[in-house]
Amino acid sequence: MSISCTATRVFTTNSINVNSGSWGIVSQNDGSYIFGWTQGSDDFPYDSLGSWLRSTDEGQTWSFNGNSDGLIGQVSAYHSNIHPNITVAPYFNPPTNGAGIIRTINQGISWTRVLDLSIAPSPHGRDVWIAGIQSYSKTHALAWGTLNGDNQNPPQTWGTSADAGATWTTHSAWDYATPFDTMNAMGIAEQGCWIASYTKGFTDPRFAWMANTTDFGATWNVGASMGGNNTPPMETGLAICCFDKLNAAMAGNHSNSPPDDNVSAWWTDDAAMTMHLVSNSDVINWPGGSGNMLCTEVKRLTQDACFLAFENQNDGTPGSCWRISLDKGHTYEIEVTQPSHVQTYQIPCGKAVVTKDGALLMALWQSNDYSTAEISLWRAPIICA
Amino acid sequence: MALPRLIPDRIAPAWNDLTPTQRVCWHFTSATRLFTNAWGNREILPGYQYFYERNNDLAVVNEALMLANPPPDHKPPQQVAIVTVAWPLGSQIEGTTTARRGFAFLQLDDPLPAETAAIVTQGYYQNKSRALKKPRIRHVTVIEPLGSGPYSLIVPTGYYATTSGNNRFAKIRGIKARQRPDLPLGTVKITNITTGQTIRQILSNPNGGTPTGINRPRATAYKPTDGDHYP
Repeated sequence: MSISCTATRVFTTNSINVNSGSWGIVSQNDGSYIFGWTQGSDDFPYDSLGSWLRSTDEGQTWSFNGNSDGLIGQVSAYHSNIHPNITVAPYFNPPTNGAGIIRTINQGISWTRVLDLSIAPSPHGRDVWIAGIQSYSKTHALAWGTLNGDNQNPPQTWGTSADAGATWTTHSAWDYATPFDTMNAMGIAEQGCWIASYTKGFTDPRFAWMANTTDFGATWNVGASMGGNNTPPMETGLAICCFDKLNAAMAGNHSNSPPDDNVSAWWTDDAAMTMHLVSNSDVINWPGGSGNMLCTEVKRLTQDACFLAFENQNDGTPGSCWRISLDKGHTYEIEVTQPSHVQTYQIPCGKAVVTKDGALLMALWQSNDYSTAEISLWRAPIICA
Repeated sequence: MALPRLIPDRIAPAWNDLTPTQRVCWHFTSATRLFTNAWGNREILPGYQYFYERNNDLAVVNEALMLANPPPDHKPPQQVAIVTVAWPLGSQIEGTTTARRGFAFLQLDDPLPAETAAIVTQGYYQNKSRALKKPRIRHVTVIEPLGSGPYSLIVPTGYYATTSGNNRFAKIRGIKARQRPDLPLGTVKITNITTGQTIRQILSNPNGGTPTGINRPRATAYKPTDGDHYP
């Protein structure tokens, strides 16, 4: 028995601003999927129109379902379905130092703003942003990001909602002694253990730290530190998927000597108290070069398997790399086949969902010449033979 | 004889012995084989549950038949003809040394197909109040592929030696079947061993009729033509 997985493109957006573009896919409880992306413009890439599509055939075909025009800011890449027909998404507006969350109750036909944050600019150049949203029950949702880019203690770094995203409570960092720069990613396991990564230290050296909580964020246990002595060690783009209370996989950008970046993936079996590089490091970890994981996704597929997607331009040829791990992220032996021309594009990787008929669904930003860009949707059925 | 074990005791180790690739394949193959639950809703089973569902009956028939890879399809087994036979109380075979009383057994005139096995389950709920409870399964008789001829439903000696009361298996060897002719003799699951797909058949009670105490027809004695009458 062997596994094969081949991706084909099922949708491509119109041209978007090359510097903007964010996107995401979420599965709905009614069996449909919503895909959203932002258009951007050359004048103001972040004051953009969010467009939303819906698919009712496991991602094979898509149709327009609405937009989020009139909401200032860029609808970010990550959003989460927490109730039938309800989706929440972060938005991001750096010029006004605003960030927040918008919500739809009709699968993207119309949106309302449910959380607004507008905070003074950071002296360290870090803008206000919300990195991601996840749901851990039908009514409870979790958002994280750097909600306060200023050098204030404590910064607001994450928020929770217990009413399907209608109202939100923001929370402060767990380590007030050294304000950290960026909340990078969070993963949630059904058993209630969250694992988070954050970058600490506004000035060099900066480290990425891991922490876990078993009480839904009330208290946090700081675990492994990662990264080097230079900036930016795993600054952004990290992704985490939790398999259970102890096991998780993670991937991100790891740099000790910029501008060279390492593309790295880790796993933990003790809730991030210790982190381990994947064993097939020749596949995942590219030292030097310009490869990066600024757009990374680690998606849990089964109780043991996960999917990893990241940008790889280490060898001078921009492209993306998609792989599947069967052992909780310890190794990534299965490669998702892409059409050859895709690998000549620079493709930061978007977020993935798994369809009910067993296919990966991914949205990617791609540009061939950096003068035009587009978002494309890819579908990769997992086939066993 | 071996001690009876729970089915999960056979299936869980088998799942753990699979390769990671096989486990993932069970998971994603399940997505293309929707399962109809007890409420009639179609759902996708997680990989382990799909593995359990496909191997549940095969683990009963023979552990060696359990599927390591998800089956190519869900082809159901063929229907098979299983005749229930009774020697009612009082029947005696003249000229033989042994007489059986109140005895029931199965007869397969044609061998089971090579890809087919059968699992016969029996059991009567003995509550006098006749509460609407499903019968407890007291005994399982396995008919392996290519099996044919008569199959005794007698519980092996010592099978439940430590039990008593409602677990007395003597009750179902024939006397109980005769006392409750309104109940089926048992249920048989016909299983395709290449797919794990099962269909169910009801084994009619050879003493069939109406409940005890009512003027019901008596079963006809079955008399072997030659040899020992023991089926």
